[in-house]
Amino acid sequence: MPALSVFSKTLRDLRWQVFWYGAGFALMAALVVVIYPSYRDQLADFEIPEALQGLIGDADYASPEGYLTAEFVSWVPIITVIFAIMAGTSALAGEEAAGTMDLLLSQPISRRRLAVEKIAAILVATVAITAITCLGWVSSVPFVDIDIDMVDLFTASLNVVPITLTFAFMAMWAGAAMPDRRGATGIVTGVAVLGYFVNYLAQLVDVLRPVAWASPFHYYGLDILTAGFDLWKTLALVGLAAGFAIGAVRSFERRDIGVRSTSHFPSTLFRWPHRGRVERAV
Amino acid sequence: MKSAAIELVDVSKKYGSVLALDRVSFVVPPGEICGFLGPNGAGKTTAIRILFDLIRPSGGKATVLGFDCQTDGLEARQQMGYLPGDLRLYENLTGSQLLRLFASLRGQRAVPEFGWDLCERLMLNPDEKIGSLSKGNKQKVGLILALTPRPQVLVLDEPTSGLDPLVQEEVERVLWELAGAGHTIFFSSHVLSEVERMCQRVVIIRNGRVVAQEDVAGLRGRSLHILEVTFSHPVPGDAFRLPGVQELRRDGNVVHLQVRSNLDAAVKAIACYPVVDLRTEQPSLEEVFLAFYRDEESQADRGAALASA
Repeated sequence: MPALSVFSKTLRDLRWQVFWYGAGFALMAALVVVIYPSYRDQLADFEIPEALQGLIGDADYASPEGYLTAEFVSWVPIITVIFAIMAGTSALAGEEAAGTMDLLLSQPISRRRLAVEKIAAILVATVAITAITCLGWVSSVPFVDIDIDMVDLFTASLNVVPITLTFAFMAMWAGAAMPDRRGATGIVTGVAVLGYFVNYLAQLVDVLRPVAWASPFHYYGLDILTAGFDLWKTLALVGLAAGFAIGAVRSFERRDIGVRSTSHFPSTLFRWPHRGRVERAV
Repeated sequence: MKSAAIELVDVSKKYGSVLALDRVSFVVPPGEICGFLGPNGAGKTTAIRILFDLIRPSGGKATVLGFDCQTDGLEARQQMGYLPGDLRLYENLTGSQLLRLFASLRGQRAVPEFGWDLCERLMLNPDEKIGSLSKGNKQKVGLILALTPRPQVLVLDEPTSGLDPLVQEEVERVLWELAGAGHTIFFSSHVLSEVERMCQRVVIIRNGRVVAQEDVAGLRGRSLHILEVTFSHPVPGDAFRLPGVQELRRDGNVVHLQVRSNLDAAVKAIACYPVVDLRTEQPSLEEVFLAFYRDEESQADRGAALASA
């Protein structure tokens, strides 16, 4: 069995990001759970504005499910998508921009294999972030007066994986196709911001409702704690993520690998005379 | 028949409307050290990157040990080692971590002993982070990564760039040893004295076309002559204004001439005056090169000159 060298290298590069994102989420999860009992009574009287209700779906803000939807489930994907875009664009476009791709691909490893190992590493990193997040629930829920099923919380945490991977592989594909890390980051961030607001505003503005389906966030189970796990929406995201992953592999397989700059070794003996020919980065 | 170590047949590469390589063909026989020369932007790196399938040719075919670099790239690269001209390494790893990573990319469980030997011979501490190494030491790491698997075909883009003379010498020794053991080494360089010392053959490329591929000795001897002629009395200033002949300098009755291609015209012109002495010097590769690149003749003329040489 050949060693998964690119997979482990990519995972190694992501290890601190995984740790900090995971630890941050775990801390926030524990914090919102711990403060719940002291806010419960006030929450019951709290008249939630319509604009905010759009953000948390149909949840009843006073219930543990509604409260955790508003205070956790609703915003987590916004943060994980940032991780996704960074990891996705650095996977191929970043390596190319750094100039290290030449040396990797000069080894007997196919481009498909390299891309697939990177995809697998991002998948594992994303799952690892949610796994660390679950430590936040485990370390708080049993010790606090809150009536919620731990398994539901685990499911809700894992539920950010498909939306995160959708953006990660979209970013990877954009980076492979363009191939320009900054450009890819800009475009996918634009798509994420637009998608998020279209989906959010569609709940308030009727005109936008018919186009909400075009936003990946539409398929994120915002109401997973109140209405349960939605298999079809999840499958839609998994399909989208898989499509982007395949697209990333295919565009990476097809095209030329860019070079970072022209040769920067000037002749030490003499200058090469050149006759009006533009020097190219080839 | 034993297949060539490296063979390019009519390889072209177009970037939009710019032709970076124009039907480039050359052969590097197995077991040879072959230099790859040309000015910046001539297409050396483009040709080398096609060998590793980093870029795809617009036409033609490149093979290494009989494996098509594009369709059988994995098999080809299994036999190849590469030092990129614009070397970039993972700055956050140490040399030994990099060696392990590259061994595992080749499906090896451990770094071959040769890799650690090379670290010692090139005086590299493999436990330092790449990011903290000087340019020369990074170059050593790149070289060690390319040489460690002892590949059949080594392609090195400017291997001794940035190295101090002692290490350069050691690198040359290692390359000689590998060539002696039957490995093929194809390297580009701007240091012509090094090419002259190391290579049996050279491939010269200019503006995306191969302008010469032959023995270093043959190239030196046949394509350029340096003549020092002593006449019994001064000769007219325009006596040697002939195509392919350049008067380098004149000290009284002694005239120094540089002649490209064959000597016929120059000898006939010299014979018109009383000659006391005539010496020929072997030109250095550098002089051959300057003659190749400095003159204003069209490429067609140059091709014809070479063909008749």
